[in-house]
Amino acid sequence: MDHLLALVVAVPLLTAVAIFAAGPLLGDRRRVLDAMAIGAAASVAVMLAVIMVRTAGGDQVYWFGGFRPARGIAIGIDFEAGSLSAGLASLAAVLVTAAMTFSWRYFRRVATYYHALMLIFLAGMTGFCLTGDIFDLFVWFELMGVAAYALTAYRPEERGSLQGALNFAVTNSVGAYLSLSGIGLIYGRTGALNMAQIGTYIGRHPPDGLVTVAFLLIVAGLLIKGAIVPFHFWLADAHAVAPTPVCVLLSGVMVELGLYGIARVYWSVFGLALGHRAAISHVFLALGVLTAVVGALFCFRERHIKRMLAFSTISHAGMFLAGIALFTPLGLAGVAVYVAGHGLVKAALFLCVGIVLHRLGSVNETWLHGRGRPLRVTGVVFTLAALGLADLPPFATFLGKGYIDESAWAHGLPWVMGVFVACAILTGGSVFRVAGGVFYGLGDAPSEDPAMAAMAAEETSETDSTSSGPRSP
Amino acid sequence: MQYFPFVVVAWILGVGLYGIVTSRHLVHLIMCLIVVQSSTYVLLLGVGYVTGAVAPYFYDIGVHTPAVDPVVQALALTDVVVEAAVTALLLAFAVQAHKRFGTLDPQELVSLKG
Repeated sequence: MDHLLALVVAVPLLTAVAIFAAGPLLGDRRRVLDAMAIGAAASVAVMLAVIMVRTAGGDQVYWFGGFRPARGIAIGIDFEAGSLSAGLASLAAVLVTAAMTFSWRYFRRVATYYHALMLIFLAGMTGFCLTGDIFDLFVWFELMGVAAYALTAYRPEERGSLQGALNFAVTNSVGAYLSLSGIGLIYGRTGALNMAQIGTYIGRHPPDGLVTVAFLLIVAGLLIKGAIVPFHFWLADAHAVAPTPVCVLLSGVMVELGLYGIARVYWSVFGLALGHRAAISHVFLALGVLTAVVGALFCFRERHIKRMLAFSTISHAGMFLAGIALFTPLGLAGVAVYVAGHGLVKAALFLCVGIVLHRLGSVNETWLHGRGRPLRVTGVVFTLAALGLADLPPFATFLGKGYIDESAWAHGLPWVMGVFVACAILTGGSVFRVAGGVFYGLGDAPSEDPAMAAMAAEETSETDSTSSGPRSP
Repeated sequence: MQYFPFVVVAWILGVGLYGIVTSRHLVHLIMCLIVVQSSTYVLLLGVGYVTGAVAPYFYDIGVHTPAVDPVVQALALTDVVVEAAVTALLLAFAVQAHKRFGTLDPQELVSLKG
């Protein structure tokens, strides 16, 4: 057995510690820290890619400290890498690498703890994907949560950023505690914390009300993380105020991890033995479709570009949940491809918005109208990413959505396809509106009412703080 | 008797959630979050409790003496650590809010523009 599966968590955590230790010694030479963080994130991405290739030959399992299960009882803690979990973790690592590379130029000055927190965030996401232990699922959930809350409030110059971070932290923590209650109940019933072992127990004993309640509690916590209506309100607040490289991670992969958790818990712990399959499927499908529609509508009426992208993430999270709700291998495969495509496309969009904010000092669509013309390359990339967000070929989002549609069709739910197309038109259309208006000056220049102008002026004044970041403590 | 701890858990959880929803002060809000988390300690310990059993330290007692479940105690300890981290971070946010904006009212902190 090799230790690659343990290294993907150990490397970012140890590098974070090294950065904390080295930070004060280096003084102004922050490029060393930047390089360390990028190097660590990139090496994790490479290791996860290797693991993902290996999972083609079967799931990889690693028992920490060599505590292997004895007589069918798991006494240790394990990491299990399947193609889904390794793929999602790779996506997280790639996005962290991209975000850290972007930060190289984006922040003129940056605090040491920014690098360390990004790496801890990466370790949390990787651990959440790979863990085979249901209690550790909660621990990783909170670890990535704490890093994300701190990163959201990284630039507390505005009232909004503290409010957004607090809202995010309180909502997600309540979700985590609900999940923990469910985990406690399931442990009380099965006497196991290893997901595979719990699954075996539930498969052998007819599940009762307690198991159902435990399932609901665990799923409720994960739905909050996944920003599913009616638990979606924290996301737009948090994403609008977080620094752009952090938005890439929040939107591109963290929300999806909550939904991955649902799929993981359902397939490997509760599964068919839980019963009520049709009812659960219907509830998830209804929540997913509702989320997709609500997110798309809010996205369309939004003028703050970061909030617009955040609402588009909510809309897509709804589509992912609907895809998971079909409970078919094809639907799940579609969601996996869709998540990967969406994560990369959304990252590209957020980074383009970051460049616009850095150069032009605003993320208000109305104010920016026509002012993005000098940013030619950014405009082209933004437009291409908008095509990807609208689920058009040749992007992965098109392929993933195609799988979900096909699976829904086979399920006798052809209307799901129609809803998805409508949502894609609304979210893709809003982003196209931004692309055309900001970068090419298409359409009539929107009338600047005084309130908007005042707001734009305020945002301009805030840019300095954006690009410089707070002083090192 | 067996269900009593779980009634307490539901009560603590309900009180904490009510506090979070109605809170108008950040420190009060954070305390309510701690109350919500406290329900998980009671739940975990309630799950592992065995009537008439001893603490799980097999040093000077027989191997077959009934003992309470040590796993849930480890879980509760981990839970405490998580709580300490989250609470410290949230209180730091509250301190920042007070320092920079002179308010601890969540409503007054809202200045998001869309």
